[in-house]
Amino acid sequence: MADRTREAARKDVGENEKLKGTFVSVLLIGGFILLTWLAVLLLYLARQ
Amino acid sequence: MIDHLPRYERIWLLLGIGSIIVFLVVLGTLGIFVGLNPPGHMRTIAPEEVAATAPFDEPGVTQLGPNEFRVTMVARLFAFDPGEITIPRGSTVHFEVTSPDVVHGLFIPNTNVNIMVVPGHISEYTYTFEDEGNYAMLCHEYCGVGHHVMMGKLVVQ
Repeated sequence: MADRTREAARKDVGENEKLKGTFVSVLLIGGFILLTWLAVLLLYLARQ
Repeated sequence: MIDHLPRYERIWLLLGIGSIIVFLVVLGTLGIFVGLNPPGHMRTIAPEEVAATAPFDEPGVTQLGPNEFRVTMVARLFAFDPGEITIPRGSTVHFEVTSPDVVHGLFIPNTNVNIMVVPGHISEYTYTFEDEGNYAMLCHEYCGVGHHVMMGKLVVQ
């Protein structure tokens, strides 16, 4: 895998398609973490 | 370095690394330039000699300035000493707390006062009480059978 080039990865549409669901799921979890982190930070700052 | 990875994987790796950098920069900025740090515990004390060591031989509230107080507090099984504190509105309070026995906590709900009190260490935290009211002082580290009754009161008037 390590010797694959960017072009080779781009051409590999099938692999990208398989990862689309994973990508969206990870973004959703990441968004949730970001929102909760922001909420806690703002609560902390509001109480300071 | 990550060219061989599929496109989506590259994007989420960069987003993940980027968000860690953002978190650290925000926390570092608040800590270094705004002075928002977690409670300090660098000063140490012999737990078995707390009652004989100044300033904890005389726990209480000391006025340092017009609106500035120091609270010297001993958290023990199962009470805070002093257990009731009254201060004027807008006061800045420097807490210094230690324990002669087990790990305790000092938590004042609706404020950022959230201190772990470890025997052998003096926990310090500074907070300004802008709003009037009765605040609870709670132990929030399980310390034994009387943990649930370990509480005090802080009145801001």
